[in-house]
Amino acid sequence: MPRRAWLALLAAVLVVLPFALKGYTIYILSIAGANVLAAVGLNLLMGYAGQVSIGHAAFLAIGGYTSALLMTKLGLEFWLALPLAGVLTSLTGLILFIPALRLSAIYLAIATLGFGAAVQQLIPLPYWSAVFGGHQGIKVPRPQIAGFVFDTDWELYYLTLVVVLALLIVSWNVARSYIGRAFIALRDKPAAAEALGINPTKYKAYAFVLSAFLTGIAGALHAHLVGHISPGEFGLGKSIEIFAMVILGGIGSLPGSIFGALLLTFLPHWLAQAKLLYTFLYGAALVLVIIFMPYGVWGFFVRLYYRFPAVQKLFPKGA
Amino acid sequence: MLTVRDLSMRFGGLQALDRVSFTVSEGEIVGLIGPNGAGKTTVFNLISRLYEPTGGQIVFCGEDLLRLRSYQIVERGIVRTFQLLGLFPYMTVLENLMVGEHRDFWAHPLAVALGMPSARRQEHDRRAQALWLLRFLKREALADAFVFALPYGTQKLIELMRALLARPRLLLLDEPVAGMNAAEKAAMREFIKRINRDWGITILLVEHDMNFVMGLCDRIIVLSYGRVIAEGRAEEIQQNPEVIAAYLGEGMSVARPVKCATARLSRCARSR
Amino acid sequence: MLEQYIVLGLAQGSLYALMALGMVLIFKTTDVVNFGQADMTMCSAYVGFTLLVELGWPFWAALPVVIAFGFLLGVAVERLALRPAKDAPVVSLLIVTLGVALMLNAIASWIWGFDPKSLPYAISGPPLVLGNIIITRHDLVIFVTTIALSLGFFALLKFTKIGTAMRAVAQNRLGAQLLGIPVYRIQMMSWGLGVALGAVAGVLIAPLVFLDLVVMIFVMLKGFAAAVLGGFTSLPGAIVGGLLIGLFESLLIAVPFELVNQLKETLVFLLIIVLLAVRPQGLLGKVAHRRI
Repeated sequence: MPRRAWLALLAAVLVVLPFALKGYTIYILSIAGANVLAAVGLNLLMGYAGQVSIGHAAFLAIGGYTSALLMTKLGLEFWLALPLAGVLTSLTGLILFIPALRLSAIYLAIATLGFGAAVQQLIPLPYWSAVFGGHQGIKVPRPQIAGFVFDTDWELYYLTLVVVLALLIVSWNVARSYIGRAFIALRDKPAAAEALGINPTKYKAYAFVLSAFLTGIAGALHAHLVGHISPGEFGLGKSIEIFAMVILGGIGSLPGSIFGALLLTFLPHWLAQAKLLYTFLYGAALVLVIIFMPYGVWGFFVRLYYRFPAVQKLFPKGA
Repeated sequence: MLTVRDLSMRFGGLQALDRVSFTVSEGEIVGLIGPNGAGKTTVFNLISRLYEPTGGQIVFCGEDLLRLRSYQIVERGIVRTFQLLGLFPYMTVLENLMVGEHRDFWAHPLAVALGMPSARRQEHDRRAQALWLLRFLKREALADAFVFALPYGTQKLIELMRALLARPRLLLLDEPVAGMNAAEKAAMREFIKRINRDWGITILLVEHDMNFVMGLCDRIIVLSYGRVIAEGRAEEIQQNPEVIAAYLGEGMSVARPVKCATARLSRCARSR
Repeated sequence: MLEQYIVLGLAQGSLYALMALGMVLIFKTTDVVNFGQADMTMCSAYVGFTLLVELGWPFWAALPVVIAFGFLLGVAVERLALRPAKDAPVVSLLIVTLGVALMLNAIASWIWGFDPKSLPYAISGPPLVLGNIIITRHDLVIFVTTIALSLGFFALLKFTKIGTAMRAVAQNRLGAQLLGIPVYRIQMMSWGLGVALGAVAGVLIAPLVFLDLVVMIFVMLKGFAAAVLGGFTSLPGAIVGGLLIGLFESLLIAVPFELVNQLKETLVFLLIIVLLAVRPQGLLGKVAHRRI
């Protein structure tokens, strides 16, 4: 089957899926959708452009708060608040881009870590608790378009689905374009990339802006889905969680990030029954996945693909 | 076309280049040779602005190159290849070639992100161009192969193709035939001649294979310990006593001089 | 008054330095940033709690046991989790250390529960007064231990065979292997030593805070920051970085604005980022020349 057919089939499954699921699972699936965007956002930055970030939760927070406040304080409609939240977040992405110009890998990690800590500390300060709601956070209104309120799990699911798919196409377009190639070129052989006319400053800025945009939208979606936002959600733990999604899915692979995000969103819910064992199993899962799939789930699939000719017939090359 | 004047480069205590001057005229094929560590690649790195020289000037078509950043060099028409392969290992051959066309991509990032027809058409056209070159050199079967899996000689050729797609006026080739067998070398020599003659591209190349350099270059510049010790046509260079002393006198063969370690080994063997 | 803050800052900084030293050692020989350092330290501190409080051992008897525990823990983690995953890229190994951290966290919660524990000072007794500086005996122990451990550690690296092997592995893994150095065993030793250094920091920090499952994360982040500030591959840099961060933090407390205190973490990171912007290779890191 050609690629388009597979994608159409996949889209059909996603549309029909809620009919087969319980309300709560649909809700978790929507949350997973938001996480997919965040993971793809971080993967474009880390896997493609080679810029490590362990402070990405900050972008989730900025996107979430912005969208919520634009709706409650300025009375903007959701369809306007959401993209604006993304744009504003992408501007803050430029804050991280500045140290990234000079710093490499491990040093950038510290800068992003600091950025994450700073955002988490700044939001609950008492000076603007009227706006940000301090440590308690604020209520986030339900998405609303032209008077229609997205209120049930179903409605929210379809809304999330549309936004996520649209932005996945955008990410795919960029990743497969000269911009995506420039990211990889700068990551692997910076000298050769520059010699071919790739301006490192410009493309690093693109990477940060795009990554922050996607993550900001993810944060906004998440906040609208949950209906509440508070600074406590966006600690180092959250940043590491997105990081883990990217790695487990397979760094540098967008489908991998989708897998990683789905896996790490549902895993806690499956493991929740294990109660006391939960943390242990979660940690063990991380270790075991890396031991048995060193290049993440997607890397594992690719290896299977080349191992078994039957699979290659089913999915022709380039699919 | 290219004028290098009193170019000096110092790394810590090491004077890699000491007031090197030479010119390359339009249409020439110029060879830059010298023993290991003579500073040949450093010259390339300076021209492509990866290093900041400690002194001197580089002028290309009347423009001071030292005012430009590395990524701006290609727009002036200077493209280089790398000694240790500048290919991107985790891209396919076709993708690598398309990075070579980077200067011809001007679609706005938003147009790219939204998948606008203009961006798609550009991508399509560039791809067609890269495929045309692959077909021209009868390597179209390699288009979707990953670069890291290809033999060294093939990678060298792909890198040259990528450089050509960047539309050079002056092409800097760093060891274009290293690691190739005799047949591949002959083919490469013909190809470089053709690039020069038919496509009007000026070439400056660094190479250790003397036969290759002597048979190809209009003019040869010899570097030793960071200085230009000779310059001239192949026959003149071959007879220059200083060159012979610096280069051939060290017990190295005329063919590819092996790394110092091997030289030392052979000296050991002789003393025994 | 200022001197007092300096002393407090240096004491705190010494602990960060120990933490940083452990992380740098592991990074140098294995390329892995150990994000599990916090939980390994936490477990070691809990072992210290069991020995000191539940069994009533004296500090000088408990310390070697805690160090040994840290060492064995590090060795076990390398052998059981990191080495089986050695085919994975380095960023993935970071996730492995994280997974190990979560597992240790769970184990600690089973054994010691979720209630915060308090550990006794290494030496109790009235604080010492030197002019207008007051030093607790515990702080004194911290200073002495840090200095002794750092010196001992450098001596180990400089003068012993295993130390030389460690430096060789840090500089050139393949080269070391070709020379017959058992690289895996050296890496395992480094993990042991690195975690043991953290363990020492753990039992010394625990009396100053309430020991619970997460408190060490903050110490580790400061240690990590200290290590990066020092250049991340420089062991003296780790110590300098640790002391500097401890000092800066302590001086921030001395500033009489509430806002400064609320933003302590932010300001610490801001300082690091500014310093790194000036010296991108870290305080004592070497400039890597661009190889093409």
